[in-house]
Amino acid sequence: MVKRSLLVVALMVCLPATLFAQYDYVRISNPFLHKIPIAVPLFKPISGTEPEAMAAQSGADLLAATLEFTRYFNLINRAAFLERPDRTGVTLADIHCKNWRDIGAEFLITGGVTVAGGMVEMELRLFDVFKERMVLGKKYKGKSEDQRKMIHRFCVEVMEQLTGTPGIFESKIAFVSTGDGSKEIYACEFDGYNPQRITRNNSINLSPAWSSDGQWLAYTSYRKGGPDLYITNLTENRGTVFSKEGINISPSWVPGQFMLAATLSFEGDQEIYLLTGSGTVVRRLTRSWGIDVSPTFSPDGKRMAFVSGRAGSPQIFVMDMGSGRTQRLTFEGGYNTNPSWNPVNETIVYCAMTGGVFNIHVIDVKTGASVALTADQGDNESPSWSPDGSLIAFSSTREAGVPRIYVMTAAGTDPRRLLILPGEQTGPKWSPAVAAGR
Amino acid sequence: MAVSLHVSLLDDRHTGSGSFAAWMSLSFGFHLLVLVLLAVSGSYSGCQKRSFPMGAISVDLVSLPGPVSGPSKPAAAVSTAKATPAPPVRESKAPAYEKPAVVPKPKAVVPTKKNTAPVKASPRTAPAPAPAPAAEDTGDAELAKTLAALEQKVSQTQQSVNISGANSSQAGGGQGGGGTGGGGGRAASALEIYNVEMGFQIRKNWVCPLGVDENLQAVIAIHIAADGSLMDLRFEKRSGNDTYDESARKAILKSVPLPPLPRGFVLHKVSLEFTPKDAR
Amino acid sequence: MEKKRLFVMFVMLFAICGLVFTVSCAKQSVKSEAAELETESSMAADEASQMTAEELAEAEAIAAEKAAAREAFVNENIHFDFDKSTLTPAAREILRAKAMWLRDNADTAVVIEGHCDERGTTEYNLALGDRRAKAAKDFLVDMGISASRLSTISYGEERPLDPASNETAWAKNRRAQFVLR
Repeated sequence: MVKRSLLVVALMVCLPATLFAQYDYVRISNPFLHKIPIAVPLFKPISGTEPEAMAAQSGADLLAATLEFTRYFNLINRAAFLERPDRTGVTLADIHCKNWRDIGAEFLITGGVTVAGGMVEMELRLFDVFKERMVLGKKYKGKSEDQRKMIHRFCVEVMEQLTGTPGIFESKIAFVSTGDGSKEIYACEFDGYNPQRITRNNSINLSPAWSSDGQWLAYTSYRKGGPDLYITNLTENRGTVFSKEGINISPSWVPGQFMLAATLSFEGDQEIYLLTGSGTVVRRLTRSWGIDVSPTFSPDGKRMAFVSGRAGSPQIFVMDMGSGRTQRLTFEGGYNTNPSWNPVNETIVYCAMTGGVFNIHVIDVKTGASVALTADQGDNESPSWSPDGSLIAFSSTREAGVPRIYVMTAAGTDPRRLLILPGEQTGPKWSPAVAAGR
Repeated sequence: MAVSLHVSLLDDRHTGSGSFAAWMSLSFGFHLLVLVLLAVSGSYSGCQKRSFPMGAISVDLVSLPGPVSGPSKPAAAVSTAKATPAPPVRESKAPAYEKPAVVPKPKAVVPTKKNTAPVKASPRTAPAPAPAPAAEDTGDAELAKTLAALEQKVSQTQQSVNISGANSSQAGGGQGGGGTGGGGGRAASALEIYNVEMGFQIRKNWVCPLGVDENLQAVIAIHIAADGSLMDLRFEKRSGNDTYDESARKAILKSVPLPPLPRGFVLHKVSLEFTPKDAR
Repeated sequence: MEKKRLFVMFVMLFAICGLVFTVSCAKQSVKSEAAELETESSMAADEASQMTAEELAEAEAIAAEKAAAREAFVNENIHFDFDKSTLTPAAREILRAKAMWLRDNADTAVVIEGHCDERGTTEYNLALGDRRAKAAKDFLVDMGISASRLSTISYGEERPLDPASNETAWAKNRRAQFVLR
């Protein structure tokens, strides 16, 4: 009985301690690193022929460069690799995940390339080297000159897998360039590759705007002497000219609809109107004496941000399309223009002039808090979001005072020049995720 | 409760007077043991399978494993702390322990200069070191500052540490049987320092893409063995975003092996909460 | 009696047609005015033998004055403050002179161009140029010039007079310009 009582007492003392076995609590926040480390070794030429080796090299290099462009990945230097899939093999059985973890990778992409008779075939595999399994495996076959398209297709799959969105790889950027002596509209691929001229009329062409299916481009052209609105189908080369008295400018398409908003002044004052894609006026949207220009729609098309001079200086306002209720958004600074509404969230990027210099700012629509994304780097104007809302294209005079197109992250980091052409490049406009066009 | 039960059992037994004295002394000794156990066990988390020393708890930082930049400062702090611990610990024995108000302190504290007076009146809030450096920095300087801050604090033991780099404000920890015994004048425990180091190591390895919802929260519980290897890892709370949860898990896996536990510890259990939000 | 009336009607008809033709001919003269001036002065030379030297000098002076006024009309621009389309007093003065010239040359029509300096964003400047041109037009209409003679066009920042990037150049570029059509 003594033993039993002792035991009971002992248990009663120890029990609370075991019941409340404590875990220390450590909070980890504010991470330093933002780019997913990924390894893209050289692709393996399957038969080992010369054209295959070249395609293998170009394919791997393009894949690495494309992933890097997104600013989402950190490409690990090939010199650090501990094994060579282009020699040892590209399947899960061939690779040793520990070799890749040891160099800091979280993911690995291998490729096997076969070239025969002008056709290229690529087997591409994405591995999670921590889970030690293949996450994505695709085979592409097509003409050798379409290798770029295949790599881009694979990148879309990779992004879908890792972020849930298809990314930007099939998008285009339209812009204005003066290289041929006049301001003409061009479009290039998302990474600046393959710029193509779209207008060819030796007058002044401005303000390209993509429809949300990527098939139509609206822009302003002085082809007929004055600023008229051109609405063109890019693949079928047909369209409408909207040419009312006064200015017909700053088009912006309504998401998901064959409708656009534009600033017209045929009734006297510069107001924003809603038009169909065939060039019929539906209704007038703004009703204020003074300039109303540069509309941009929220992702659901229910709200429209625009620039208005109604407060005495150019500021950004937001209008509810249903009720017409309009509220001012920007209160800091005396010159805020060029708004562009993020395609996936409630932020708007715009151009603010402070001290005579233009910089890109981003503002939260709900809170009204704004942050400068560029500073001390010349004049930075015409910001335009990528279709996944992660990157911003803009024009900047930071290099020798000549305007060029740049791309930076939504946080304002990692700016890089997109392309360089004769003359000046301004007014970039990023298309939706998939865009047509020559 | 134990006492009353004991008495009732005694009554049941109805022994002779001689054995009664024996029983009494045994009972007294047992109670004393229990009280001492309770007073001292509050300092440590979990049910540690080890014998712990009584009396002054001092830490020799120089022999601690892992990178500690700026050893001179903590060492100096330790030496001053050594002089003081004896009386306070003895004091702590008498009243069992101070029942702590273990309330999670708000994370957002204005970044003050390091080692200034605590923001709150409560003696358990650590002073805030300087704000975190720019992104992609490894933060070793921060580590040293936070460690120094811990060393110089003369408050009661803390149960939890905030590895955000901006400050190390208090967050709620465990509770229950062991409180946070002891009065003031103690040096930071070895485990606190370990938690800071381990937390930094994991934070340095954590890749979290920009644009992720900053309010996401994933909590992973891990067991660390004496040599720093991982004995267990499981999710206590998932954020709902698989990629995000995986990034947290990978951060831990990339940090293994963690630094070896401080001398005398064989198992350390930690809950790691990952949240992108800037704690500033 | 009926015949007489018919005859009168025919005469009226011809007279009206004739009037119409003379009016339209006059409008054509805007474009060929320069040529006409030449012929005018050469005609004056031809008639020299018939006119006195004094009369000749006077005719030439009038012609020169007309040319100068026309020059002034076309070449003198009005200027605006940054981001403004309101008319300054100086601008009003110039516009008054232009209104007078337009009154004196009732057969002319004008395109008023609105321009901005290179600062500011393209689309906003297109709208601002539009406002500037319209401000000038409205003033002239208020001064009695028929609106049908005045049309406007905006070039925003696309056609600067001075391509430099300094305050002088910018001030020059912030203008409304008058072109005879």
